[in-house]
Amino acid sequence: MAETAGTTQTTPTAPGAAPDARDAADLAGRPVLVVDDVHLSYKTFGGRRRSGSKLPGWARGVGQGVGAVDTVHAVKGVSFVAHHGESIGLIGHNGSGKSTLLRAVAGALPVTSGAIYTDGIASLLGVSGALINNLSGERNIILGCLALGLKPKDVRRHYEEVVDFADIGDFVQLPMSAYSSGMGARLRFAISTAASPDILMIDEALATGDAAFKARSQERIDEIRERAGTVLLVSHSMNSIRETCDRVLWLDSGVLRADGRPDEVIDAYLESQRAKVEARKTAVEVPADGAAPLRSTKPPFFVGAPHVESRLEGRNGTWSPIWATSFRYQWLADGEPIPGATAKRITLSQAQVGARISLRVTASRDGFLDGTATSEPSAPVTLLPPLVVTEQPGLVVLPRVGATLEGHDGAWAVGGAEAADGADAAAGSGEPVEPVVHHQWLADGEPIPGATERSFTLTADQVGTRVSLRVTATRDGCADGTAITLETDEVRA
Amino acid sequence: MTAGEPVEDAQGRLPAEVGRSLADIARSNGLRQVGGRPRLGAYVSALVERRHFVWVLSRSQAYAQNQDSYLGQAWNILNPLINGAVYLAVFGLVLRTDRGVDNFIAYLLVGIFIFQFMQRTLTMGSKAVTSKLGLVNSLQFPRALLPISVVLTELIVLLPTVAVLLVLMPITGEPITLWWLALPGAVGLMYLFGTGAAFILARLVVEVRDLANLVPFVMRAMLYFSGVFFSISSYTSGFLGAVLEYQPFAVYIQLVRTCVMVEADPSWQLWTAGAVWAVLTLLVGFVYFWRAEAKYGRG
Repeated sequence: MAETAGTTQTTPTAPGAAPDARDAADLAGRPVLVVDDVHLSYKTFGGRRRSGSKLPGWARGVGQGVGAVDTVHAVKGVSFVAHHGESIGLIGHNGSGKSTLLRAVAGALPVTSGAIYTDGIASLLGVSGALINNLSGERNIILGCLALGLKPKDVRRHYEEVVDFADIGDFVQLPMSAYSSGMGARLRFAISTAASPDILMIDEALATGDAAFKARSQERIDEIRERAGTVLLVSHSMNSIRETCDRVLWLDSGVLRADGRPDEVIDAYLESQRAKVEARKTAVEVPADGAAPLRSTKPPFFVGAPHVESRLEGRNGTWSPIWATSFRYQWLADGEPIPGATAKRITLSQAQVGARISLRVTASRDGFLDGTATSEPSAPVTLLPPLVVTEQPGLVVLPRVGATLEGHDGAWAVGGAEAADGADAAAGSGEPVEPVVHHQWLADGEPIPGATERSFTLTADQVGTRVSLRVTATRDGCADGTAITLETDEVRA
Repeated sequence: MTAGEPVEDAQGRLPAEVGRSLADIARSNGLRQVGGRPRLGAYVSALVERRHFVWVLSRSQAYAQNQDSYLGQAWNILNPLINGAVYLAVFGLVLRTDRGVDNFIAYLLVGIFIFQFMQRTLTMGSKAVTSKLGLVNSLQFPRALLPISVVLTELIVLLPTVAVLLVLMPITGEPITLWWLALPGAVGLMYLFGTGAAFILARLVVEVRDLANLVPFVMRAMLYFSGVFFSISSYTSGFLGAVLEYQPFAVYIQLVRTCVMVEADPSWQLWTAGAVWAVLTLLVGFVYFWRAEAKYGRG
């Protein structure tokens, strides 16, 4: 610290140099923050925890709607001393009381018992809004600086600097509600550090900025430390803790678990996190012989419509006591295995028409017995929707005996609008197909015996009748489709 | 150090500090305790120190109130005008509550403008702390700044309304008299009363949030008990009349009337009542609010 003292005094760029220009060398090593056996609990409105409640279900429901107030005991007896120039990281899993402790040091949350002592201005920088959303950035800067205890003339001096640092351009005239989260975070950071606090507390705020902003923030943190300020940093990024801090506190469920050099404490913390994850993995009911069967807790199922040419895709469902690592499949038609259908997907064929399809899944994992579960059966497999004609067959209209009428096959597609509801939309979407067509010539609507070729020569038998052609299209997987041409005029001799 | 081991006793003490209690280390180095309730004198001087903050906050809030509309700040003038027109239509033309009043338009305008200020002051004042938890939770400052700035905000909003009133008065036939000079006094007393009441309500709502839901009902009752659109003395008499006439809402509305209307007689009783209510409420409210300083922000 002593070497840095000289540079500190000649750092005019430092925003709001300490008002009484205290010598950094004097301060180094003197306590700046004492946390003495602090307990913190706070009330929350709008919901309460149900665990441990002996009330019946309906009464607990009422408890959520009326009198929904609960008390959270977030910090349970934490003590430590911080000295000028120290940079302290606070780590711990979510809900361990880190942010609550910072709020108390900032004076925002009263302690329940114990005491916190500070020297100088403590400024808390959080991700959540400290400022007033419907006011412009400009007003927020002025208000923030004044609230931190700056004099109006100092505010004017810092104003440009804050705007520059936050790098928000002319957004400064817009209300803060129009800011992106990154802009808001930058502006808050700039304001919080403008007053050159003696204790700067940062709650995950650096995570929101881009790389350039992180670099600038790091510079500003270093400046504060050089001026013998103290930085308290809450972060889940062990890298940023390692880079910034020379001491780390580990909070676990509101209790201080460790306090020491960063590498030691971080290693211990990560080790415990790993142990916890491992414990969760193996904390399953394995019988003494180690041969627990996997049970299906949510049965397998499949997606896709049950009709010919449709592709069904299986889903594994969920398994207990632990997720399986491999699965085998067997598709069933009316409960009987479909030969060869052992993949996760199946494409239905004509052979399954009328059968109910289901999927049997066998789950396995090392150390467990295989478990088997079968999905609900589907509705019976249907044919594709009938073929529909998309281009009417036509006739040459010169009906005299001896004239040869040329038939036409028409054009065909699978399914029509009326079939689209039940079947897979893709299958009945009018995809053109080339079915096998059969012809039948008709006289006054009655089939003419033997007249089943594509063309037909009129004979005396047809004189006085009106001739038409019926085309029948057939295709595997689909119901047949028929189309009849318009009738000719009466056949003349 | 390994995981799970309890923290060793040093708790970050330097070698020189080992063996001393934390409280002792803090005190011997001149550290100040965070939170807690400062002495009344220190509290007041901390408030005075942050006067710029109050001023900027109040001005900004007053400005922001109407900023989210196309007409923006023009609403400061439009609001009282429309409000006055509505009440005139209801109580001047339909219900006819003008018994015993010569210049009913002027009487009614003063009544509703002043009542609206009182109503907004107490409603917003009751939520002064609970609606600004974001600020309370991130910064350390004397919490009394919040009720003070809320009422100051309302006072700033009142100024254009009073300007409208002063323009309308001659139009309704009131002469301009020297009593107009007393208007700042009447408004000032009312402002002090409002600040005191905001202190009391803000703390009550922090203690029991549900009370904020009752404030609108009290305000509705006060609208009918305060001679906003009728003359109390023309409709009631005796003990009930005296109670209604000397409750603060009626007192301040009537005080403003004595300043701008010739038919309202200024009486020393009325001015005394206004001053007593203001000073009493402010002192009681401030001390009451200050006593719970350590509680604001918990939950």
